[in-house]
Formats: sequence, C-alpha cells, structure tokens
Amino acid sequence: MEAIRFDNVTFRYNQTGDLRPPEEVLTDFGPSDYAVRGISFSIQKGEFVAILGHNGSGKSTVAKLMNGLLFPEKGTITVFGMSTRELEKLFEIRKRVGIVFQNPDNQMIATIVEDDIAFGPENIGIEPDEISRRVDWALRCVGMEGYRMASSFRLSGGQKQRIAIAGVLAIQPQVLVLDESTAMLDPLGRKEVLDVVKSLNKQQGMTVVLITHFMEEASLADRIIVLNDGEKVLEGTPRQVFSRYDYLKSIGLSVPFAAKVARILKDKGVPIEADVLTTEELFERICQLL
Amino acid sequence: MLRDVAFGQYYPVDSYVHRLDPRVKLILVVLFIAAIFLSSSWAALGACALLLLFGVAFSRVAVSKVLKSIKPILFLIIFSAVLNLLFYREGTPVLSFWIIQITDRAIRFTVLMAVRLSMLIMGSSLLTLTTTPVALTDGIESLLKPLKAVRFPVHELALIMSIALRFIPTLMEETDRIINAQKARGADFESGNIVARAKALLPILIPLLISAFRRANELSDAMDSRCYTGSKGRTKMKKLKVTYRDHIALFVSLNIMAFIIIDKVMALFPAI
Ligand SMILES: Nc1ncnc2c1ncn2[C@@H]1O[C@H](COP(=O)(O)OP(=O)(O)OP(=O)(O)O)[C@@H](O)[C@H]1O
Ligand SMILES: [Mg+2]
Repeated sequence: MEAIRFDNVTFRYNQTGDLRPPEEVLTDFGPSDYAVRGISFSIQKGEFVAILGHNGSGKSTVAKLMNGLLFPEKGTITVFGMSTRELEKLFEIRKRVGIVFQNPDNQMIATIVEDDIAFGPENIGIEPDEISRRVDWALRCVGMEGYRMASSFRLSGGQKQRIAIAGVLAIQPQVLVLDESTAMLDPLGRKEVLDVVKSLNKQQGMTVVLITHFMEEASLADRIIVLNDGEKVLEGTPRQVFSRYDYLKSIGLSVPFAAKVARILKDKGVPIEADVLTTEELFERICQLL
Repeated sequence: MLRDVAFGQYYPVDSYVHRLDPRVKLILVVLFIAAIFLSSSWAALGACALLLLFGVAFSRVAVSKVLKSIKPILFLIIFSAVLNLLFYREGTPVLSFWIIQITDRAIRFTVLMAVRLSMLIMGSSLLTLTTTPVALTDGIESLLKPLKAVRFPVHELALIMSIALRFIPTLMEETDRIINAQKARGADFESGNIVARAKALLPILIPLLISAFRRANELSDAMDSRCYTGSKGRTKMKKLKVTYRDHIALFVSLNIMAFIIIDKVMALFPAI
C-alpha cells in the first residue's frame, strides 16, 4: 500500500508576498528561487526511507510538505489517498504522518513528560483512560518507562528527543518522519534514537522517513532519496547510492566511512568491491583478500 | 540555580496533597494567604502554621525543599525586618542607644511580618511543588470557565501559561549562553552608570528575542504536526474531579480559617 506519493511537486517560500497566481509569478523567478523543484517519489507502507542532501537542499521543506504544514505550488502530494491540498482532510493526514523535528527543546509543549506526550492524543479527542495507556505504551516504545513524571528540562538531549518521538507515537501515526532529529545529539544520544527508530520499523512495521546528513544513518534505510538544490538527483538502495562516490562528492555529500575506505583501496588497485556499507562488512572483505 | 526557583520545581511523589484537585489547591492557597494577613494574634498565626504543617506533612515533600523556597526572598525579609525594627515607633522602648530606639511593639510587628512573609512563600511553593504546571493551568482554566460566556479566551490563556512555564528554564539557559558568548567577545556588563549598563543589555536582549521567535515558529510547526486545532474536540488525560480527599482538606482548612476570622472579630470587638 502506498503511504506517501509526491507527483512533480514544486514549492517556493513566498518571500515577496506576491498574491498573483503561481503561473504568472513563475516567469519572474529563476529556477534557483524554488526550494523544491519537480520532485516525484513514492513511499510504501512499512518502508524505511532515508532522504539525504546537503544544507539547504530542501529536505525540511519536503518533510513539511508531507503533512500539510506547507502546500505545493504545483504538483500533488497524496497521503494514503488524500491530497494535502484538501483542507478538510488535513487533520486526518496529520493523524497519519507525524514529524519529529531537529530541536527537542522546541517541540515540547509541557514541562512534565506525561503531559507532553498526552498533548497529541488529547488533540485528536482520545478518551482519558486510553490516553494514559498510550502514554505508557509510547514511553515503552522509546525505552523511557521510568520517566513518566520527570521534568523535561532535567533530561539529556537523547532522552528529550526520545520523548519527542514518544509524543508523536502516542498519536499512533502510520508514518514517522524524522527531520534531522539526531543532528543535535552526541554519538550516544544518536544511537539511542536510531535504535528506537529501527525497532519501530522492524517490529511494528512503522513507515519511517529519516531525513539526515549522516551517511551512516542513511545506510540503515531500505531506500535512499538524494536531494540536491531542490531536485531529486538519485534514488536507490544504500549500496546503489553509495557506489556513486564521485557524484555524491560533486554535490557536497560523502559516503559512509567503510565505503570510502573500500573506494580508496580499489583506486590503489586492490581487488575489492566498493559497495560496502559497514565497517564489519569492510573488515570481512579485507579478510577474504588476505 | 535560578531555574529551580518557583517554577518547574514539581516534586514527583504520590501523596494526599499531590492528589488533591488543582482547583481546590488554588482556592486553598488564596484563602491561606488571606488568612495569613487576617491573623494578628499569635494564636491565629499558630493556626496558620498548623495548616501549613498539615500541608507539608501530607505532601511527603522534603521539609528542606519547602524551607529552601524562602531563599530567593530571604534578603527581602531581612531588609523589611530591619526597617520595621528601626522605624516602628509605637510602644515602650526596650532598647535605645545613639539615635536608635527599638520598642516592644516594633519587635512584635517585625517578627509578625517576617513570619507572615515566610509562610506566604512556603504555602504558595507547596502548591507548585505538589502540582504539575499543566494541572495548575488546567485548574485555572476550569476556575475561569465562567468567563467564556463573555468570550474570554480561557483555553488559550491556559495554554499560553503552560507553554510559558515550559520555556522559562529553556530561555534562562539561553540567556546564560548569550551572556557568556557576549562576554567572550569582550562585552562589559559590570561597569559604568545605569544608562551604560542598560545599554550593555541590548546585545543580550536582541539575540534572545530573535531566538525566542525562532523557537515559537518551530513550536507552532510541532503543535500543528501533533494535530492541535484549538480547544474544540479536545479531551484531557486528567479529568479534574473533586473527591472525598478534597472535601476533607476543605473541611479542615475552612475550620482553621473560621477560627482565625473569629479570633480577628474578637480582637476588633473585645466587648463580644
Ligand atoms: N521559512 C523560510 N523562508 C524562506 N526561505 C526558506 C525558509 N525555509 C527554508 N528556506 C529556503 O529553502 C531552501 C531549502 O531549505 P530547507 O530548510 O528545506 O533545507 P534543508 O535541506 O532542510 O537544509 P538543512 O540541512 O540546513 O536543514 C533553502 O534555500 C532555504 O534558504
Ligand atoms: Mg532542515
């Protein structure tokens, strides 16, 4: 089943306050004014998709288009068969697509963890007892059972971000979008959050869209979509995408450490396949050579 | 340090006082403050102290936590005590040297004021120690509900208060960070006259304001993403409910307050 579909989506931030229809304004602008240009892709239910791109390549804009925080200027976005343009469907769309943003401090509404997680379910009119059960469940999903009554400002960055994820999970969305949700965390906090995301995808079949500029994170996905200056430039499995070392480099991205080492070895004439993703894999391949 | 003061200092244990309805706690605190200022006899003040003692005992909050709440206003208490002591002139002098004269009534008044102020702070911090910010704002929302009839945005006000409480520690941390960053750039906040010092605050206030707007922007995206559409169709995880606990607390408190009022009336009309 198709969860999210982008059809030739174009978007630009309205910096001019121009009220004319987009067709007319189009002529006044160069292509570089667009944050998102003619992007099409489809994400299936249960998939784990990573979106990669350098700063300002349009990743956050794509995320905000997914649940109708922004609307496309041209093209359509379909979420479980509903267009984000239909305002009366927006509530249903947001129930299905939850976004976790970059800074956990700016996503929490309440001081006490349980009150914050309850915010989403309260908004969609869930019964009080069920909300309480959902808070427990969401805390268990992110491995923070003991923190129900904790004050959010006493938590570490990784813990805060896990609470932010729990706050979105409590709405029980079908799709979890993480917009650089690990960018502000240290390696340990990053691992905590990624482990939670992986297990949600594997154990509960949650559709995950992971937006990141860490290559190691992207290599966890089933599929990677690479953006450059608002356009989709590559799409494929991590192996396919990271084998394009030179191209990625030309658009300001790198590849996972292991792939880089393999590539350097290959350039030096070592007979090794360069499509490795993890250091363990690299280690094995090198061992096979010896 | 400063961020532990007054707000967000919720003390997470389960107790009789924690379980009281926030509306009842709010009303009791207001009545308690009124009672403190009605009490002018030692007996009445003792009754107030007894009420406070009950509150602390049944809240399972560490006594040191409650006592510590006085710390931020300790200076104020001492300062006003010194002034009272020196300038309260009625009564018979018990101590006099140089131009200073301290009367018996001055001592009595000073102690009375200091005790009142301390109890006032301890009583109201017992409220924030035993009530989460959301419960507190829910309570206020519910108490102000009659104002909805005149289109007063009660729900919005409660949400704003709750978000403000949530962001106080965040913005304090941010202020510290900006001050340090500006100091590292050679900013000087300590010298100069008042005007110069006020001007020196500008490089702190402007980044703080910009960052607050940025945060507000991101917060609104996060709230939209979590399906917030206003108070319509919204439920609450914790339904406010007045139970037997609240009845008992109200009964005990009102009795003690009745005693204070009778005591006051008798003091005003000794003939009765
Ligand atoms: N609110 C806004 N108003 C105007 N322009 C914006 C706004 N937000 C983003 N842009 C512009 O749109 C383009 C895409 O930004 P976007 O935030 O989607 O990039 P990103 O890939 O998420 O970058 P980053 O890695 O820094 O998060 C950028 O050129 C940016 O300057
Ligand atoms: Mg971004």
